[in-house]
Amino acid sequence: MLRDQSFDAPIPGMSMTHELGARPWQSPPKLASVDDAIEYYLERMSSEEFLEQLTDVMEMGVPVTSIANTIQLGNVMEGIHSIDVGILVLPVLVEMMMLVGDSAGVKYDSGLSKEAPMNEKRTRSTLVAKTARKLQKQLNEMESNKEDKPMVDEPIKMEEEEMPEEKPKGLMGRRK
Amino acid sequence: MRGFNPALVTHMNLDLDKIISEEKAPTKNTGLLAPKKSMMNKGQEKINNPLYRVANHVKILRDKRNEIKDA
Repeated sequence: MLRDQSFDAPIPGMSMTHELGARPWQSPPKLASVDDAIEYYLERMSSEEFLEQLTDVMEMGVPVTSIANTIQLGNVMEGIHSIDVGILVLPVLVEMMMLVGDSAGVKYDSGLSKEAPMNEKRTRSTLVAKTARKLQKQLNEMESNKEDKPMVDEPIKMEEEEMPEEKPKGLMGRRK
Repeated sequence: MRGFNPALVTHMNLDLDKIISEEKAPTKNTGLLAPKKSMMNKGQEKINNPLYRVANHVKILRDKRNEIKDA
């Protein structure tokens, strides 16, 4: 039986199409030790903007472990620290995020329990906001369509009107 | 099914009690010619272990979280 082939996968040897060291993760990391990395993360995570975004994402039901892993992988890709340091830092990131969630009073999914996510049956406020935005957009589009309709229809009618042909009246006029 | 997430594994495997257990005080050699520091343990101090430092950070954060929960 033939399998569906995926053509999204990288071509063999594709990773060697750039010079060695051209990618950020191929050059020495900016932060070499665990302590430097922890300090970097704690500083970043204490900013107001980050805290707002983090609480929003946590409220959406994204597991904390997934957020932590995504953040550390992103920094590995940018060459901030090595993957080893990233793995070592992960528990600190998870704990820090849970502390942020607890202090902000947000109900979050830690991703550590095997049970179903805590907010599976709960209507998320972010989902409500998203739906409301979508509905508002649709209403606006409908209103703008109503306003535009008469202006659009008029010139079309003008084009459709046929000019009455003048019938030849003279004796020598052509007959059909 | 949940995919592999190293954050989950590292968090679950981080046994704080085991890592941050108090070190036993080494028995002192009383002889005059006894070495002041054990050369065997040189470079094996816990503070040099990144895992120990990470565990300390996690312990501080966890204690703070428990304080918030209890309050």
